[in-house]
Amino acid sequence: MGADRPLVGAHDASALKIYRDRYRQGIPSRSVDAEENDARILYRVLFTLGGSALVGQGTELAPGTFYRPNFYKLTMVRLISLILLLAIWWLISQFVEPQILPGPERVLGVIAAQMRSGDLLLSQLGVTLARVLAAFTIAMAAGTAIGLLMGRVKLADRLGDPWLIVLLNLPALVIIVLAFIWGGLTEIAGVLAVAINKLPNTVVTVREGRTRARFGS
Amino acid sequence: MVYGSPALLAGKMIQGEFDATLTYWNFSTQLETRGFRQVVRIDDLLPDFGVAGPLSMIGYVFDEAWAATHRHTIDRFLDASQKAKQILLTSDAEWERIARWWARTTPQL
Repeated sequence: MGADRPLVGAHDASALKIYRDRYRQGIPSRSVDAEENDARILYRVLFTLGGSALVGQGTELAPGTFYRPNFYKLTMVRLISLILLLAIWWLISQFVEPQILPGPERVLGVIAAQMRSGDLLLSQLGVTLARVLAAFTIAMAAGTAIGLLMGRVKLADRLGDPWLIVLLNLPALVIIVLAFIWGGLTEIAGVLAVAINKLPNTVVTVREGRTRARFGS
Repeated sequence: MVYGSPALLAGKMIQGEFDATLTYWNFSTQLETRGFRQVVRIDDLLPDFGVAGPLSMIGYVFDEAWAATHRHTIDRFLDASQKAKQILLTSDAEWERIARWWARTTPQL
């Protein structure tokens, strides 16, 4: 064909912009009903112009030509799953003492009562959430950095892997107790204990993601 | 008037043998990147036929009986497709990524 560049491809910025804008123009934005309605009108036009030689046997757009997805159902499945979890919890709680397993209605009642009396929300819940946020930030930041490094550099992976296996298999309780023994009963020790607990999981996830990524690196 | 494969027609346009061509969007766009001008789009013509808005011209085709038993799979696929298009609609950075990937994987003809 004598083309010096691929027919479909965008190797410079202006070409990419043209492709991008033209592709975006073609993304359907209307409802299935609106599309089907217009398709029916166009079908009639084609039938009027060309008859059965153009459109075949039908005189109208065949019913069922357009598929109607039920995205509502996708959300419903998740909701039903959550309700099922609550139902199983409630059902088991009916057969055992509340000390063994309090039912969801009992737990919600306690939460509601504590919120009303002001014992729970903001003060205590806020402190816990702040600790979680701090620990999460540390674990994500350090874990992502280490994970990326191990995913990219083979030597880093070989050096880090034994450490990772030890950390992954170290029980959370051990890390927490050690953190409090070494760091004292301080805020920092608690946050660090949680962060160290979550660090290896983050590292493994990021490393696997980086190792398998073939697209757009 | 000459009929032919879109790729061939695009090649002939580039060589200067034709003045104009009616073709698919990707070939039309490829010609645009080489300085050709788009005269008209199907969507521009539709109102004259009494059609209200832009109309999808290509789509996925599948067996109705199979679809009846695989609704969940199809819905999830369409959901993913819609989300991907939403990203391509709103993110320029994603197009930069595609361009790099294109440049790496598309063989030079």
